Parts: sequence; structure tokens; C-alpha cells
Amino acid sequence: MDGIFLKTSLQRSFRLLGFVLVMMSPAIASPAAERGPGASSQAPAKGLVVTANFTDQEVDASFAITLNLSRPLQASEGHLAVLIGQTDFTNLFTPSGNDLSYLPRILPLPEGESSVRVFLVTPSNEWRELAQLTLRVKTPAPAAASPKQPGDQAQTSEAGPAQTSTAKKYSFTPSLTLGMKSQMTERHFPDSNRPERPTFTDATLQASLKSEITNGWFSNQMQFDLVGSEFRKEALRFSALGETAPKVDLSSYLMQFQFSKAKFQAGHATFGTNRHLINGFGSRGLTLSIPLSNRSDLSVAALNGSSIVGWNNFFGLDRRKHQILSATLGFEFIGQRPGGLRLEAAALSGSLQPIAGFNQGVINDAEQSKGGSLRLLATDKAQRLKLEGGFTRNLFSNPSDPLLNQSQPVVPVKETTRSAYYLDTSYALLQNRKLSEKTTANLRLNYRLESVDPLFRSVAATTQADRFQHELEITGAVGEITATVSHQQFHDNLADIPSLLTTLSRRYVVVVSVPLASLAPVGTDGTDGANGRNHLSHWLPRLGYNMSRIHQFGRALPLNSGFNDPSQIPDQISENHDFSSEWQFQKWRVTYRFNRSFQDNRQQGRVLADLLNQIHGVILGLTPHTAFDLNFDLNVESAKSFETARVDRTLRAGLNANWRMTPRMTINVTASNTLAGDLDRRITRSRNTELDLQWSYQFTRGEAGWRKVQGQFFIRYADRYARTRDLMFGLDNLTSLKTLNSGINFVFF
Amino acid sequence: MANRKIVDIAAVFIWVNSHRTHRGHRGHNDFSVFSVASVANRLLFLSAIFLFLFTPPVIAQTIRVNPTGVNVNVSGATTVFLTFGPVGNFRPAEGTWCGELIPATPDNGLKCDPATIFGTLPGRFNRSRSSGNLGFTDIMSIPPSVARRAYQAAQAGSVSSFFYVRRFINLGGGPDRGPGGPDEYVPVTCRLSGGGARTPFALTDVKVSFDTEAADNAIVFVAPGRKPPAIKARIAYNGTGRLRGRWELVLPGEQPPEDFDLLTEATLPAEQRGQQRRYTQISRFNLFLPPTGKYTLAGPDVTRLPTTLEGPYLVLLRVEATDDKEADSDLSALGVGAGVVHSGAVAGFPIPVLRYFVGSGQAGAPIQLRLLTPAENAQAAAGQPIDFNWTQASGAALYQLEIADQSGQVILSALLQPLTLNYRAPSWLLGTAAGAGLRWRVSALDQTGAKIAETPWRRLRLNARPSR
Repeated sequence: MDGIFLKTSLQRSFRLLGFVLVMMSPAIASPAAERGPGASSQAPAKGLVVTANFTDQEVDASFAITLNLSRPLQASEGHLAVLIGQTDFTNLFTPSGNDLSYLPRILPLPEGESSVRVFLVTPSNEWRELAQLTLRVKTPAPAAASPKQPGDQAQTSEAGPAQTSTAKKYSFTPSLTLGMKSQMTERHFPDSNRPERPTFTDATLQASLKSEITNGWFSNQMQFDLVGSEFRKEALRFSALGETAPKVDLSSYLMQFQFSKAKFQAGHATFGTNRHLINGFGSRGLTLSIPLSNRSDLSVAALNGSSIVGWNNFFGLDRRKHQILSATLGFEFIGQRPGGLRLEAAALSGSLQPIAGFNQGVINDAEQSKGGSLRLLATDKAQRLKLEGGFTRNLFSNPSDPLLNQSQPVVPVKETTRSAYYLDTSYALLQNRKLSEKTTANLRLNYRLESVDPLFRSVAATTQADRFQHELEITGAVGEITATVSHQQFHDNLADIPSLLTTLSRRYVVVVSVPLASLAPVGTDGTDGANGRNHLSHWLPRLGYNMSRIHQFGRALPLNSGFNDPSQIPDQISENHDFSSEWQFQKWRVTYRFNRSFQDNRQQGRVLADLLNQIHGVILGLTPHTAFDLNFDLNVESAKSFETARVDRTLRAGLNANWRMTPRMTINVTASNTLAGDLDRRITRSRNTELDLQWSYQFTRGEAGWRKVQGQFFIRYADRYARTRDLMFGLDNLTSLKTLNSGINFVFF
Repeated sequence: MANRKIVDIAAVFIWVNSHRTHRGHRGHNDFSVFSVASVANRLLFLSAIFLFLFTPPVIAQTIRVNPTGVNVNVSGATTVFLTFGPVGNFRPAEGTWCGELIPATPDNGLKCDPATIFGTLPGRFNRSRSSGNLGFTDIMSIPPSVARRAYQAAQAGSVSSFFYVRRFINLGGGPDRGPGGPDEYVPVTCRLSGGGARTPFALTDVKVSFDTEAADNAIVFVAPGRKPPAIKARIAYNGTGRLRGRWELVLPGEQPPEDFDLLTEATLPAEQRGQQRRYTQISRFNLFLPPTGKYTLAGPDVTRLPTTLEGPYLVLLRVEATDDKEADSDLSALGVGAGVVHSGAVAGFPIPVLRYFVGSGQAGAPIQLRLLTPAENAQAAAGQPIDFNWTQASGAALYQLEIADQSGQVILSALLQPLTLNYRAPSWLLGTAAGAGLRWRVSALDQTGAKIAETPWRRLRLNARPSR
């Protein structure tokens, strides 16, 4: 059977690759040349020459820059823009006659050599380069390097090698928060609802340490975050280690070292872009990315098999049977146009134990896989045609799992080698077609194809095996109005095993978004606000509509399968409609949402097993004053079962208010009330009410740095009430809990 | 008692007939028990009646299960809510998956053929508990490797369905049985399917995280007054139905939830569902999940998450039970209750929690630096200028706007005076990164040039257009 799969997979793969190459040919053939940012094909303004006071000299970091224009700039010509390195300083320059000047008061000039580019920005926002100058700023002696150096400026100035070789930055930022929280008293009903600790006082801790070093071609950033609680059950790893969980633990860390363009990371990282092999796999481990040349790059990762926290397994590589090793080699065929035609080859070897990640709940297994993948990306120069395709071949097995076997002889899982491939293509039928002066139209056609063999599985990608699917999609936009229409078909049982149920699916999706304000006529008396529309346009909401319809049905009753009744074979049409409208004003906003879904079962024996759900939701947000904000939610939900002729209703009202009485004092109120039950027979009724009232006060001692201590005190009253009555099951549960909590926190540094 | 015996014999007959059909009559597609009235079957049925009349009453199986058969996902995990009962003087023991059944003699029922065992319910997935009137709620979580074994058996020509068998140990001492009587084995048929419609609606993989720049994190540190990153829950599921529930928050000083509180409501017997502890409700969700297996649930509006008070906060995803015909368990059919328990959105594990810690911030009024437009993941129309807008931050002496490409490399930044809360991007920016995704953020700098506030990155898509 493996041989048959291999053969069919290879045939499909060859066909796929052939198709990809044919589709790519326009992109390959297109000229590769491209101008860099800021280059302009248009001639600069006539007779306009820019000179500066910093040319032919090395200046201090606090040097006042002056640019001089050879003639006054007419308003109709636009205005000037000044970029130092990759940073736009225009807004900090002061015009005076034919001069523009900038005095660095807050941020010093970037050290080393930077390019200063002066642009003429036309009224239509066309940037035409007038001049390119060189600014040389003296580099202070190493001892003079201060943590207050505007590192962000250096970091973002995106300097070339000459500049980065002299950029320096050192920073060290610790922080520590110590807290004490307590439950002073509580009242509960009934006794079974008694909290494990009616009263308590616990100490808590949270700390972080950040450091950053930039010195020429080398840079390093580190961050360590720690949390702790005196109460063991609040320890980060209590669910995994129980009473042995450390009370103070490492929540996360990241160490990044950059040597020129090579980057090495230790800590929590995400790796992989190959859909079926390793795709956005996030965990603790080591990653390294190296540009091998101008066209090729290499990334390598060794990661723990699931996300973890804590001191143990610091680098994430302690457990050989629970880790992922992967490497990706990328090559750009068109050097001047990265992404124009790129090929990536990836390999993976991984092994997982049945352990869930720290923030994951999952039904899992012991698994091993090894595989390789090719991924190809191509676009033409105008980005009209885009292609992405990938092919993965993978060997998978389930090693013996003692927790599953439990000392019994278990049928072994056969090792399988399977393939998967996909192709995503899109073509812009209309690209920025001008309909009017301010309105453009876009229309893009997307086609997606994906095939995943039965039993295909890679330990570092989430893939639905045994599926073949096509999707055709059209997305369009006229001005701010957008719409998407798509049709998808997929089926399973690709190996055509007669005893397996084959399920076919057909799906249609329509998505429309209409900001009605964009359709309002522009005011005749000039502009009003940023969008130049009349006052009424503020009252026009943003509308959204989303519809999906899916029909899923079994092809036939499979033989030798355990299916012995037609009602066991799915034949269901599901429709979902979602409508939303949103009004946004300066001091308030309103959102209304309506959702309706209908599950229509059509197979024999289940014709009546249909469900209809409807939801109305309103959210009102008010900010009448900068010190006060309020949110109010209202939800009305109904669920109708046609088979039991029963309608269940849920009504929920929620309120959240924040009042910053003074800069140091805040009151928060959160309340919600949920009523639920069936309408007609009143068999079930339930009510849940929650109320939180909190007052907090903030205080500060010291001024800055190590001497600064910031504190906060709070007191909170919480009331929880729940009552559930069910006549069918003879239930009448009433629980209530009232607590009074307080706490004090001190933030150092 | 006699009626019960007849039912049991009929069940054995159905099972034998079913397997005879599977093994020897591949082309014969017949669902009716009695329409296959072969001579052998008649003899078997008569023999069963003979056994019924002349065997002591102790062999009668008393424990039954509902549902008796379910469709399961052939390419992944499956979780199903089952009710066994009445359990009386029995204690539930292991649950085993296997390809074929054999009579459990001298015990009662049908047990797994030891040569075809696919696995035993691991302890970490065992969420079973007693319920109601002599009922036993079992959450059958089938790991993917069990379905894989069944698939490979079907590939080799065996019946594609397999069985889950719960053993109940006879504790004796009951009114109608002596001590040390026979144990009982109760099978459930698992039919291989695509895991879509007609499969019980169940969550099989839930990963909640903060959508941070570097990676999906379960824990973040937030300065007072700043908002945590957006929250999302990536969910893999079987079946189809409504995903309904609440986002709740455990505030500093509150007792943290137990595993019991973190289970989805449908994982519990009906009478225990109201006993889960509730916390401060942030918002509610009620969505339809189509039979496609994956969904990313957006978290609550992060502006609603409190960040003025320092300390640890836990964000809880609370999932309520919904009406799903495939996940129903009929207690009345077992005699352990009056009605049907709805168990849509069952899960064999506690839903993970998210943590954020507020601390190490600025004194005084909270800084409210927020990005306004373009919205998250907005598409910049080609030919139109891109205007970035943000809110004012108290204490800001300069704003710094950064625009980075997908690799995180800052391709353009701008420094702006404190009263300037917008920036129009250069025309050539579109040409630089046409068709690619960009990210942007704004930082507020104080008089010393130190960063006092920073927004999270926001994504921006650019329409393709050649640079001019």
C-alpha cells in the first residue's frame, strides 16, 4: 500500500511541479531591476538646490543642522522632507525663510556616518529626492557612552556597515514587584461551596531583567521574567509538578545575540514556514539564522517538543525524546527582488512524548517523524501573480507508549511514509484601477489546492490527514468596500478503502464589509474632518456581513464498517449568517451583532434533528470624561431544537466601569447577570450574578532609578451567586460566595 | 429481569450478525437484524434462547451504555461523553480499545480480543466520575494512534470499526448476587469517519496564547495602564455545533481555579455543572463552528482587561455545554436518570489558562498610548496615502513611529513632536514593500529620550504596485 501511495504521490508531485514551473515563467522572465526606496524617476523641482552646514566636517551629536534652499518653495510645489538614515526628522525641523534647521535637544544625532536625504513632497504625496548628503557625527570615547544614549534612534536608523560599526548602546533595566494579598473574610452557601482557604495572606513576587548591548557588529538583548507566590497552588508548574513545584519560577526568557547579520537566539522562539512539515512551531530552544550570501540563508532550530516554563530544562533540549530539530535553507533566484522567486528546502527530525504544552490541552500520543520539504514562492514584479507551493515527504511512527499500553500486548502502529502538497496561487484581475480621483478598484482571484495523504503526520505541524481540497476565491475592493466570495470542496478517504466512510464537503463563503461613511457624498462646503465628508457621515455605521454554507455528506454506506443504519451517515447542511454594525464617535461607540445558524440534518432517521440558533448582541461604550469610562453589554441568545420542540434562551447583561477619581485613586465596578432557561415548559432555569467592586490607591516614594518605589493598595468585594433548577434531573442547586480581599504591592525600579 | 435477558440475548445476536456480515459477506449490504435469516442464525438464536432458559440469572449483564455507538475521527483524536449504568455494586475499571470482541465468559458481556488491543485509556485522559442515580459518566478520549491502528487494520481488510470496552468489577454484596460475582464488560462501537458532521462535537486540542510579536506566549508582563497583547485560542475539534461560553478573569487576591473548574461544562455530569466556580466575567461568546475541524477564537477585547492594579491575573476560557444530537447521552435508556444530557463541546482535559502580570510601571496617571488607524491587518489601498494615527500619551516629549517589514527589520521610522499624532508615509514606501506585510508601532519618549510607552505592533497589508 505504501508503494501505491508513493507512486501516486510522486505522480501528483510531478504534475504539481510542472504546473508551478509553467505558472512561474512570467515571474522569472520579468526584469529584475528595481530601484531602492526614495529613488525617483521624476526630475526634481527646477532650480531648487539644497545645501547644508554639515558637509565636509565632523560634527558633535548636538550640532544644529541647517539646510538652505536656493530659492523659496512655492506652496503649490509642496513641502520638504528630511531623512537621516531611515528616520524621518521632518517634523522636528523648523523653517525660517529659505532655511530649515534642527537642534537636537532630546535625541542626539546618530553617531558615525549617516546619509541625509532631502525630498520634495508634492501635494499629491509624491516624494522626489532633491539631494543626498553625508552627515558625520563624532563618536564619543567608550567611557563616555551612557545608557541614556538614544539607542532607539540608533536601532531604527538602519545604518549601513560604516554606521553600525560605530553604534554603541548599553542598557540594563531591572524591575521587581513584591505583593501581599489576603482574603480577610468570606461567606458561602452551602457548606460544600466552602473555599479551600476561607481566609489567607500570601506574598507574591514578579521580577524581570532586561539588558541590551550594541557595539558595532555585535548586539545582544536579554530578558528574564520571574514570578512567584507563597501559595503553592499558584506556582507556575503546580499542575505538572504538584507539591514539588517551585514557588518562584522562570516564566520566560530570551537571549538574542547578533553577529553582523547572523542571529542566535535562546529561549522561547517560533520556527518554520513549511505548512506540512514545521509551521510556526513555538517552544523553548535554540535557533540560529545565518545569511550565507546575498541570495541564500540558513536557519537551524533545536526546540523542546512543547512549550514550557520554569528553570528546569533551561535550553529546552534536556529530553531527546521530546524535541524538534529542523533546518531550512533558502535561496533567492532574483537577488535584486527578494521574494520574487525563492526556494526553501527544509528538513525535520522530531520526537514527542505525550506531554501537553504549558498553555495547551490536547489528546495526544508519543510520536516520531522525519521528513523533508520544498517550498517555492514566486511573484512577478508588479505583484499581480503570486504563487506558493510546497511538497513534503514524511516518515511517521508511534513509538510504544507505556501509558497507552499499560502492560498489555498492543497492536503496533506501522511506520508510514506519506506525502502532502499544496499550491496557493493568486492573480490580480484588477489592480488599483482608478474609478475616480479618490477611488480605486481591486479584484483578485485566488485558487488553493491541498492534498494530504492518509496517515500523514508531522510532529511540528497541525495537518488534517486524508484530505484533498480545492478552493476558489475572489476578493474585491472598491474604495473602502471589500467583498470576498469563495467556494471550497474537500473529501477524505483518499486511499478508497471500501470499509471507510467517504465524506464529501461543499462550502460557500461570502464576506462583505461596507463603511457606509465612505459612500456619503463629500460636503460641498469644503471638508469636514480628516475624511472630508459631511457631518452626517459620522452617523453612518461600518457594516459587515458574513455568510457560510456547508454541505457535508457521506458518499455511501461503507461495507464491513460498523455502519448499520443510514442515520449514522452524515448528510447535513449548515448555514451561518453574521451581521454586524458599528458606530464610532469621539466619546461613545455602539456595536450591534446578529448571528443566526441553522443545522439541517437530512439523513434518514435524523430529518428532525435540526438546530436553530439566534443571537442579538449590543455593546455600548462611553467615555464621557478622560477619567471615566463605561461599557455595557447585552446578549440575547436563543437555541431551538426542532426534534424536542424546545427553545432555550439566555439573557446576559454586563457592566464595566472605571473611574479614575484622582491620578492615584481608581474605582472599578464589574457586574453581570445571566438568566437562562427553556421558554415553554420551564424545565430548566438558571441565574448567575457576579459583582466586583474594587478601590485602589497608588503611591510613590523616591524620584527615579534605584531609589524609586511605587506602591499600590487595593480592597475588593466580590459577590458570586448561582442558582440552577432542572426539573428533569431533579436539580435545585444554589451556591453563593462573598469575599473581601485586599492587598498591597510595591514596585521597585 | 426476563425482559432484560431478552434484550441482552438480542444484543449478542445483533453483534454476532453484525460481525458475520463484516467478515464473510463484504458485498452484502443489509442493516436489518432479522432480514438475514439464515439457517445458522436461526440455530444460533434458538441456542441463545435455550441458554437463557437454563442458565442461572447471574450471567445477565446489568450495566449498559449510552450512546452505544459513535462516529470517530479516523485522522485524529476523538472525545465522547458516555454514560454507563446502573453500576450498582460495581466499580469501574479500565477502558480498552480493540478491533474485535469475544465473549467475556465467565464474566458478563463482551470483552476485547487480546490479540487486537489498540490501547487502554491513559490515566491523564480519564475524566470519569460517578453521576446521578447509579450512573457513571465516562469521557472517552481516543488518542490519534488508536484510530491509526484501526485505520491500518481496515487497510489490511478488517472491519473498520473498533470497540471501547469498559470493565466493571463486581464488588458483590448486592441484593441479587453473592460476593465475588462476575465482572461486566460493556462495549461501545467506534465507527471510523472523517470527524465532521455526525461525529460528537468535542474539543481535542485547545491552545490559548497572547499574540505577541516574537511568539505565542502564555505569560506576559504588562506595565500598569498598558494593555496586554491580543488573546486567541486555537481550537481543533470534531463534529460541528455552537461554541458557547465566557471569558473570565481571576483577579489578584482571588483563589485560583481547580482542574474541576477548568473542565468544559459538557465534560461533567449534569448535576455537577452548576458547581464550577465562577469568576469575573469579561465577555461572552457564542459562535457556530462548521464541520471543518479548526477554529481560532478571538479573545476578549483587551481594553476590557484591567491593568491598573499590579499583580497576577488569570484569563479563563470557560466553555458551556451546547445541544448536539451526536453528543447526547440518554440517561432514561439506562434507568439512571430522567432525560438526555447534552454534551456538545466536551473535552478530555482542563482548558489551559493564560497569565498576565501587571507591575513595574510608571507612577501617576496611566499612559494611554494607543494606535488608532490603520486598523489591525488593514489593507492599504495602492495609490492612496497611508496615514498613521495614534492617541496622545501623557508625558511624551517625542513620538517615534516605526515601520518594520515581516522579518522585523525597521525600514522607516519617524520622529514627531508631542502635538503631532499622525504621520503620512512616503509615497515610495509602497514600492519598497509592495504586496508584503508590514508592522508598525508608536513609542512615546520623555525629555531624556527614554521610552515611556510603546504600543504593540500592528500589522498592515500593502497592495501591490510598482514603485514610481
